[in-house]
Amino acid sequence: MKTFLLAFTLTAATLQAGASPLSASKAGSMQTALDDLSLALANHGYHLVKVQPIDQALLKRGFSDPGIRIAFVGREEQVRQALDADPALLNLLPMRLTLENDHGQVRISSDDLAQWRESRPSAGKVLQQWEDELAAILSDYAGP
Amino acid sequence: MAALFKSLLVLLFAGCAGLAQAAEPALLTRQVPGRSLDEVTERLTQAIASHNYTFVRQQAIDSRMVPVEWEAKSVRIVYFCNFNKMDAALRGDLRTTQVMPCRITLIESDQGVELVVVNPAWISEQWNAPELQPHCLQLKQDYLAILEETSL
Repeated sequence: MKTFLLAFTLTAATLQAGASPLSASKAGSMQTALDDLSLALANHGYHLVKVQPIDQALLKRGFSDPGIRIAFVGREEQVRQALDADPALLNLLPMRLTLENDHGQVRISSDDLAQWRESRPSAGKVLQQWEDELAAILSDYAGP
Repeated sequence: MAALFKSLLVLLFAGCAGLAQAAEPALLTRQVPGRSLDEVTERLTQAIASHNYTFVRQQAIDSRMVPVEWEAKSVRIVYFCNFNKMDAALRGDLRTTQVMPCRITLIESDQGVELVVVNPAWISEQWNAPELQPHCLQLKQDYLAILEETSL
């Protein structure tokens, strides 16, 4: 029985390894969150490229409101960095952030760059830099 | 003997976990030789519609990060979605936002245009949520069908 439990634990741990999207949350409306995110992005040389209002798009078509918007963000040098390190990274650009409105809190989370880092070790340095920048942006967003 | 058997069992489980992670490729690609970026974008837009998806927008990869006149002319992104599938996915698990809206990157070179997609089934392998994997595998099949039709 112990052997089975150990094997199961190892399996689960291996499957979950690397799943580590960044996230930060604070109280406020979706619009306030977008305003604050824009400021945080600008502080780190990033641009808010596009906001995809998933909530409004679904509501308009008769679906329920999932309280979700997706923001695409980036900075100019990332395209060159991707081309230099690994052109596959172009598929991450502009980078995606998910805004989730949950009972007065807006949580912003990133895609899981750790998964990319593990699968493309040669681009690890660039991916780590992008992840660090997103962490700083989300920290700015969350505030003190 | 029993100890050896137990050790083998542990290694087998761990190995299966590793194989499960490596089962899906990270990227799905198609090459469309001898056509321009505009021609392939037009074909892609038609393929999107014929597979019951709605075209959302297209943009240069560095759109709004540089002045319009400096935008990259050879790398374009096309966004699209199916609102029924989007609603169903979001009801299931909010992590599915990591694979929406659908997007395909088009890269033009001397050889033609390469279409590249991040494989949603590769993304979802990391979630440890078996109930979501069929949705992501279906989305992968939709992507492959759209890429195939575009490259014909």
